[in-house]
Amino acid sequence: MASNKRHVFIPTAYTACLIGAIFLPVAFKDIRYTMNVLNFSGIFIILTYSFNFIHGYLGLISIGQAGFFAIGAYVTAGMTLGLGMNTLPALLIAAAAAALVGIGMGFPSTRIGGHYFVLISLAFGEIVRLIILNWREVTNGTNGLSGIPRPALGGFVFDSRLSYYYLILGGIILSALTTGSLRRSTYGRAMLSLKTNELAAAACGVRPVTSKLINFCLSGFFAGLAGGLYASYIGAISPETFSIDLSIDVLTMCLVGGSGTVTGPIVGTAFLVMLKEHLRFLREYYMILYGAGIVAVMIFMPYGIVGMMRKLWNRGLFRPRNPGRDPGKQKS
Amino acid sequence: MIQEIVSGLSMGCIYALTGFGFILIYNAVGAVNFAHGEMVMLGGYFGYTLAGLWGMPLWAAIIVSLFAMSVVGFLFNRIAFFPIRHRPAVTAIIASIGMSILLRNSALAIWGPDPVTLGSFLGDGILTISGVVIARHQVLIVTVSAAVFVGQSLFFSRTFLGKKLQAVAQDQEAAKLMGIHVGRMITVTFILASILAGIAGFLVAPLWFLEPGIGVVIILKAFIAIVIGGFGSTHGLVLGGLFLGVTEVLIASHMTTEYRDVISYLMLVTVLMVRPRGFFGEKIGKKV
Amino acid sequence: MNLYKKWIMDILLDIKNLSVNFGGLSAVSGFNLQIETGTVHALIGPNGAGKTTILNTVCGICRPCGGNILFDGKAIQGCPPHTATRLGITRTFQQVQLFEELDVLENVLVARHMHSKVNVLGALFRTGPARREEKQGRHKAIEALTFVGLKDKRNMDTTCLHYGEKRLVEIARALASEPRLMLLDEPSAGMNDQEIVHLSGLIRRIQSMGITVIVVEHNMPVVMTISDRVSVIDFGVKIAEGTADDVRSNPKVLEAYLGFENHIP
Repeated sequence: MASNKRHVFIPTAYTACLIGAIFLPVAFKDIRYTMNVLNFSGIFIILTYSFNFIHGYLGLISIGQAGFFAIGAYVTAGMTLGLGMNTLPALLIAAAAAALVGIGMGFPSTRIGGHYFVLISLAFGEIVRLIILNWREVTNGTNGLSGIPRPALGGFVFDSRLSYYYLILGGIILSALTTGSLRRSTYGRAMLSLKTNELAAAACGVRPVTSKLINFCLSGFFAGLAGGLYASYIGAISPETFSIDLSIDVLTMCLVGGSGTVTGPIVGTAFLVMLKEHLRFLREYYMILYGAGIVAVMIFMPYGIVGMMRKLWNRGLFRPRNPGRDPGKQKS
Repeated sequence: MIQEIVSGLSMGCIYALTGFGFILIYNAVGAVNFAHGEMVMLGGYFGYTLAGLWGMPLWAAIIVSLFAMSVVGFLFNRIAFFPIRHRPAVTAIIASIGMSILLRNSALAIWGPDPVTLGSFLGDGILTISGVVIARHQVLIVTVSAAVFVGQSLFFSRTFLGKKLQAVAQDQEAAKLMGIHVGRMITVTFILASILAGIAGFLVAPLWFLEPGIGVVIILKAFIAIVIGGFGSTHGLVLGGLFLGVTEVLIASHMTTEYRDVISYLMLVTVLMVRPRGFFGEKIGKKV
Repeated sequence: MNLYKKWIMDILLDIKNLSVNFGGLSAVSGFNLQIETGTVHALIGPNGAGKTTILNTVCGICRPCGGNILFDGKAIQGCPPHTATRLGITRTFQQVQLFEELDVLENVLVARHMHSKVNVLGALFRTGPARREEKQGRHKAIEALTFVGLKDKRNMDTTCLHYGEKRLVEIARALASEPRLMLLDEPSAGMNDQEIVHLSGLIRRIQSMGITVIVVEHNMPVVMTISDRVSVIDFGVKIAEGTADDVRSNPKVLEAYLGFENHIP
């Protein structure tokens, strides 16, 4: 049966990609620039997964992910520099803190229609950024914080770019697995039902508030984790990084890859990072094209790369036709 | 204290004015136009270019600017909303985010990142009324805003075009059945909203320094005004805007300057939690 | 008479003096209805009579302006929909409301969510209890789909089904939540004759499972075949009630229908 083929093909593809990812950096480990790009992309991928939770599962647009990212980064810095904690537990605490704050951002969303959520998320991101900028006693304002240590496990310190790559890869795998696991679980179904048809979902007994808050919690967690990884990788952080542009970048990466999918964030981030590298010569005009690009993606490819491929698959483009289907049927 | 209230009122008028244009579009197409703040910024920059750089007299500059804004509004609709009008609203919102980036960075490329300013229509003079210093520009802001709000009330209730626009905003299907050309009405709405944004830009430029990033702040503040006032109520919007403007100034002078915006944004979240329908509006929240 | 009746029969749903206004328009007023446990009760009446509104108040989508709704003795008017469902009331909609992003089986599984006892972390990490619960949920969902005859299509996209099948999925979904009261809003709409016969059989089998059913219907033969009792509504007010035969020959009912048909707009 055709669907059996799919069940075999996909895990094989994933394993192949995983093996590829494990061996990829070996070729580049001495090229500082490439390793940096890989590691930053990796951190971005985790951040994009955090957006994927909110948009893919709830259908809400968040341009406040930079806020969680910042919380993750600064809490990690605070724990390690201020309290002398080890980085690894600090990372987890930072992620948990961001998760809690995520619930805080989620609450208003349950009161107001989804259309306006974009502005709430914007307000949230700005609140975090402004607090970081002005709370000089704690965050050192524009001067930022530096000297954030790398994580250590047992006696081993993740102080090379290569070792950090594997740490980040672990984070990516965790994000991907969580996204996939959620999708197959009852909570994931509940969230998707809310996204598609909130009324019918409630009529099925789904509690809107609980499901949404769980989602925001997860989103905050991964964004915070990404933030902590970022802080510890670079070692120094300052407020300008955590701007709206970062949040919008995350949004774009997720959409281009395919929101609501498990591999979308990886594909989208990889694509955009490569695009940015190749179009470096455009400098400021790149951003103008970027904005136009977002509009174009919405017009021509709203489901992203992975989403589009999935649709083509469903239409039987890659396999023999399933007799139970209506071949002319279009998904509206 | 009165001094502060007066200057807060004028800022509040601008928030209300921006909010109004924003709501016009939201009602017409059912999607948030994230780039509305950038439209206001553009209006200001057009003014700066025409009057400040090219030395046109202000009255001419404003006419040309508003015309230019109409064109921008028309194009905006064509590029970013029209092609996706049948898709879910989320698509349109994201497209407007894209337009916001496009406009912001175009402004950055054309005019550079440094803040610039625009002179006021009434000049830089001040008036003093019983010890309170009022800038002539602030008087202008309040007058123009009042004129706009009164004008729109008359326009929407008395003119045929206004009623057609209202019909489209309330129920597109029904409007279509009544023979109203919905697409054209939406274009008109965009043009109207852009003109309003342009006016707001001219009014705000002398107060704040114009730089490409102000769009984001303006749209947020306008949104706060909308939420406080309540959706569906124009009086609410005006009162919400005035309230926000005054509160901001009072907070800045008596409590804290750096965290002023943080408190405004927190106000947004609080109002949403405590009274989502605002103080004058109808219940929003769930779309049935 | 009523006190005696209440004593000997088990009233599952008791609607007292219900009224609903929509912005000045009275959709339902002074409506009373008593549904006995285990019966199939039909609500009929011309379009716009208020039948769907009544269903909406029972399942929590609509908040009434006046009156009480007692479900098994408990007041539920004004409850949010998910609470009503968790109390044992499910419904299907006039326009089929399925979740397009989920396949058929997953659509039905959504209704099992409220029976979930594991928390999120358990679900994410696929602990023993979570896996058992998922397996049991699937089992029950497949049971519901088998009941309506769609077991073979359980892995298909909902867009591949035709309208009658989508309606059946909705019914399976409503069944999967293990309700005590099921509200069906014009279930036969859009179905062909064969499907309608199948549907009538389904409703009777649902009744034999002990579930109480309220059906809003326009299709008279269906109403005749399946209902134990029929209530007729016009302009938001009950104008007749009784067995199907009683109601069919009631002059007020005839006037409501025929009068409506002869009405010149």
